[in-house]
Amino acid sequence: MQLSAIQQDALTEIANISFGKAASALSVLMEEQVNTNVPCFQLKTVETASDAIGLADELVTEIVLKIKGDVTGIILILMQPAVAQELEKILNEVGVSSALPELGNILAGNALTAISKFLNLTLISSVPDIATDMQRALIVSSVFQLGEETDAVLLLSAQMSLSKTQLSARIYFLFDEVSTQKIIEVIPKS
Amino acid sequence: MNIVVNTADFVVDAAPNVLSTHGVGSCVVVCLFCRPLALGALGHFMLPKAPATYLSGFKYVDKSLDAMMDALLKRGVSKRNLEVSLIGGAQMFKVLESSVMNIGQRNVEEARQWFQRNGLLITLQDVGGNVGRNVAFDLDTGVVSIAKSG
Repeated sequence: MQLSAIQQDALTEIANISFGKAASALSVLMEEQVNTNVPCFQLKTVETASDAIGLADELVTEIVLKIKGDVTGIILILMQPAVAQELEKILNEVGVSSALPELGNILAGNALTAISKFLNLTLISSVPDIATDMQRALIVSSVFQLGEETDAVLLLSAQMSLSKTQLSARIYFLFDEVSTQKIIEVIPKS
Repeated sequence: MNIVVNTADFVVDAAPNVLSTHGVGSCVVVCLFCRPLALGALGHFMLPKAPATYLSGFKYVDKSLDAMMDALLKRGVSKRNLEVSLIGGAQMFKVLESSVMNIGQRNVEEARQWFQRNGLLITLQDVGGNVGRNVAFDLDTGVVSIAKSG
């Protein structure tokens, strides 16, 4: 898939606004400043997407949500298990009971609303699922939610960290081939 | 020497090397060992059945096992000498993968059917559950070691 410079800028812009919106919602929830590194996008195959995300057998906690609507995809929120426990503790203290699913809902909901507005398409998130296990085992199993015949995926990624506690998580949006085409069609070409 | 096999790939090698692969979830890993030649192959495959449009690569269990067997036969391996290990096929998520037959189960089933068609018996099997696995296959001894996350 060949992208023009303008299409590449538009995809970077989608990454920026969606992760930016998610970060500000997280900041309100955690009552703490959230720093986001420069969000980026990559075009990957299903086989290489999991390698792009990280080390194979490192233990991680993953929150995963499906994206439904005009385009389909998945959202992965990855963090060290100790970070997940710490976030859970902090959120429980401010009265959020099922902390990690709620965190997934808030990050996904805000990011998707921003993308929906930007692209004028409807994107809705599913209920979250959570597991802690080897990174590749989780990612590969999640990626199949894009459909078994998907080869190319659009991967948007960013790392967020809380300024005081230094807790950090990586967030990924993956879109299947058909949805990637759809997104590229609606973004400005020139 | 330890050789790491990536997802959607297989490697054929001989003693004294060790073939290993990491973070096996719903994927399946197949180890085939020919003891008389101290030669074997480890494959790490993602999905059960290749669609007709799939031409190259080792993502699917059925086509990849065909290719892996061809590669072993070319190295002088006889099918009746093969020791077969089948590992993986876990269900990593409860809600997402709640369909009747999840991908992990279907991968395992596809591999079993392939072995049956090819007249091979499974000698070691560690499949299903909901944990990730690391696999190391020692081509000197034929021993397959499995480490689980939970």
